[in-house]
Amino acid sequence: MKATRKTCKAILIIVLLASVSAARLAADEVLDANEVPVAEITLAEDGTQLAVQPEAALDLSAAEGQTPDGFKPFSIFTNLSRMIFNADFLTRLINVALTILTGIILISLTITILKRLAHRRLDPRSSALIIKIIQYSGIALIAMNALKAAQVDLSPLLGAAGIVGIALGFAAQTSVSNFISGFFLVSEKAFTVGDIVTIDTMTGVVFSIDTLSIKLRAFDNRLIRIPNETLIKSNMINLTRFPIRRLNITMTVPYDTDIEKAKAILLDIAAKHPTVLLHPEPFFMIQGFSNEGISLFIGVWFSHTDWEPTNNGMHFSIKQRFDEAGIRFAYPTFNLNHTQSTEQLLAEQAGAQNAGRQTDMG
Amino acid sequence: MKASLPHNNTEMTWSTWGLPEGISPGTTRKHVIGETEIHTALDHAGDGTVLLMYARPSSETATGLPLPDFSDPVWLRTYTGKERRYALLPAYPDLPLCIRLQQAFILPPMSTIQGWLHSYVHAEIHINDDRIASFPLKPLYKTLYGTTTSGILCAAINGKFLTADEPDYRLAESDPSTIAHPVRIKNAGNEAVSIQELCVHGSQLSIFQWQKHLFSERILFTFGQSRVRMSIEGLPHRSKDLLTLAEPLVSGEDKVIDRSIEVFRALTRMQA
Repeated sequence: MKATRKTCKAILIIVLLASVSAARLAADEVLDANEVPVAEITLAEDGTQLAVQPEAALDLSAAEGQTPDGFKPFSIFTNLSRMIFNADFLTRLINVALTILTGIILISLTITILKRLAHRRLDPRSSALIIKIIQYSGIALIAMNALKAAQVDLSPLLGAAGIVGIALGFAAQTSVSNFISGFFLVSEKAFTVGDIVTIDTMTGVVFSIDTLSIKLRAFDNRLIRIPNETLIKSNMINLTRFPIRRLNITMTVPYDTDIEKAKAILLDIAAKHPTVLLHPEPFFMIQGFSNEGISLFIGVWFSHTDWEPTNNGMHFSIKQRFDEAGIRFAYPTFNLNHTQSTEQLLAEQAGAQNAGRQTDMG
Repeated sequence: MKASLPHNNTEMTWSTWGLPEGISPGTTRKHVIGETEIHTALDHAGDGTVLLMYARPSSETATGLPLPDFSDPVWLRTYTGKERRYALLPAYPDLPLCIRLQQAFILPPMSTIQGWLHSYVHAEIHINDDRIASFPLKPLYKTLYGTTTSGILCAAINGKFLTADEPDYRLAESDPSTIAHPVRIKNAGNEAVSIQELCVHGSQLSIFQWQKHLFSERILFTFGQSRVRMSIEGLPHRSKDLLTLAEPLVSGEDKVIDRSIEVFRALTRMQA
C-alpha cells in the first residue's frame, strides 16, 4: 500500500508538472498572439548569425533581469514545451499515468488477497515466493502496457529482450535450475524450518529454505549451504518428521550366552527407562549368527526430543546390566586347534633343520 | 552452605506458606506429598531473599541420605523480592495423561457407563501467581496415543476404572498426589468397543479440593466410529464444599482449535 501511495504521489507530481508546462505553453501562445518580438535574427553575408535587439526588447529584458544579450532564460524551456507538451503528448502521458495507476492498484489488491489466503494455507516460504512472482510479473505487465499506452513500438524492444533473455538463460542456467528445484522441494513438503535432516553425510537443523539453496545448522554450529539442485538429487532423511522415532541397538554376544536371559534384561531396561515409550512396545530380535557370536537387536521408541537421554541411557544401562549379569560382548575371536600330530610335525621339521645346519658346518 | 536434616515436617497441604524464615541456618522446610518431599529454604542476596527449592523421593531421606549442599545446582533458586509468601499448588502434568486400564472391558453400542478414574498431579510453587517450579510427584512414563505418524505423546499410568458412586478415598489418603475424575463413558458407535485406555487432557480441567481429596470436573468420553472425544459435563458432586485450587489452562474450544491447527500443520508441514 505504501508503494501505491508513493506511486500515486509521483503520478500526481508528473500530472501537475504537465499541467504547469501546459499552462506555460498557453501563456507563451498568448504572448505570440500579441506579437511582441523577443529577438530579431538576421544572417550576415558570411553566414554568421547576428542578433539585432530592438530597444523595447532590451528595456524589457533589463526590467525582467535578463542577460544583456537578450536571451530569455525560459526560452529553451518554452521551445521544448512547444515540442513536447502538446495535446497529443498530454493525452499519452495521462494514458500512461492511468495505466500505471490502475496496474498498481490491481496488483496491490491481488497481493493483499493472496497474502491473506497464503497466510492460512501455505508455509511462509511458498507464499513469499508466489507473491514475489506475481509482483514481478505484474510490474512487467504494467511496464509493457505503459509503453504501449505511450505508443512506443515494442517490437525492437521485444527482439532485444529475446536475445538478452537467451544470453541470460545460458548464464543463469544453474541459478534457474536451483530456482525450479526449489519449487519442487517446497511442493514435496518433505521438511520445513526446524526439522533435523540428514542429506548425504551431513546432518543438521534446517535453518532456512531460500530461493536457490537451503541452509542447515550443523550440531557443531557450522552453517551448511546445499543448493536446491543438489538436494533434489540426494537422499534426504528427515529425522523429526513424525512425533516418535525408534532407536536401533545391535550387539553381539558370545555363543555361550543365555539368550533368554539377555532378552529379559534388554526388555527390562527398556521398560524402566523413563524416555522409552511404553507404546509402541520395544522390539527384540535375534539378528543372526556371525563369526564373533550371536547378534541381538533391540529397538525402542522415543519422542524425537528425547534422543540424547534415550541413546545414552540405553547404551549405559545395557553395558551395566550385562556386566552385572556376567554377559560379555563378543569381539573378533580366532580358535587355534593344538593337536599331537602337529606337535610331532613341528618337532620333525625342527630336527631336520638342525641336522642340515650341522652338515653345512661339517 | 551445607543443608542439614529438616527442621520441621509439615503435612501435605495445598495452600500458601510464609517463607521458611526463623529456621536455623542451613535447615529446610519439608513438604511431604505422597512418596515425594519438597524442601524449601532461604538464602539472602543483598537486601532481598532467595527461595531455594528441591524435591526428592522420601525413600532417600529414609535411607539417611543427606540433602545436597545449597551450592549444588540441583536446588532451584528464585529471588522473591518483597514477597514473603509462596503457594504450594497441585497441577496437571504438561502432557495429556493416558490411563491404561488394568482391566479392559467391552462397552456395547449405544450404552453408557459411569464411574471414577484416578490420576496424579504435579506440585507447583507459585510466587505472586507466577509458576516458579514444578515437581512431578510420580515417575511418569511416556506413551503414544494413536499412530506412529500422527499420534499424540502422553504421560502413561496404570489405573482402574471404578464403577462406584464415590471415588476411592483410601487411595487419596494413602497418596495425596491422587486426583479423582468422575467419568462417564458413552459408546456412540454401532459396534462394541474395547475400552483399554483413556486419555485425560489436564489442561482443560480444574482441580478442586474437598477435605484432603482432589477432584476434577465430570468428564464424558464419547467413543465414535473412528475417534474418542473428551468433553466436560460439569462439576463433581459436593460442588458446594469444593475449593478451587487450579483452573483450566485452556478451554475446550481453544483446545479444539489448537488441535485442528496442529493437525493442519502436520498435514501441510506448515511452520508454527
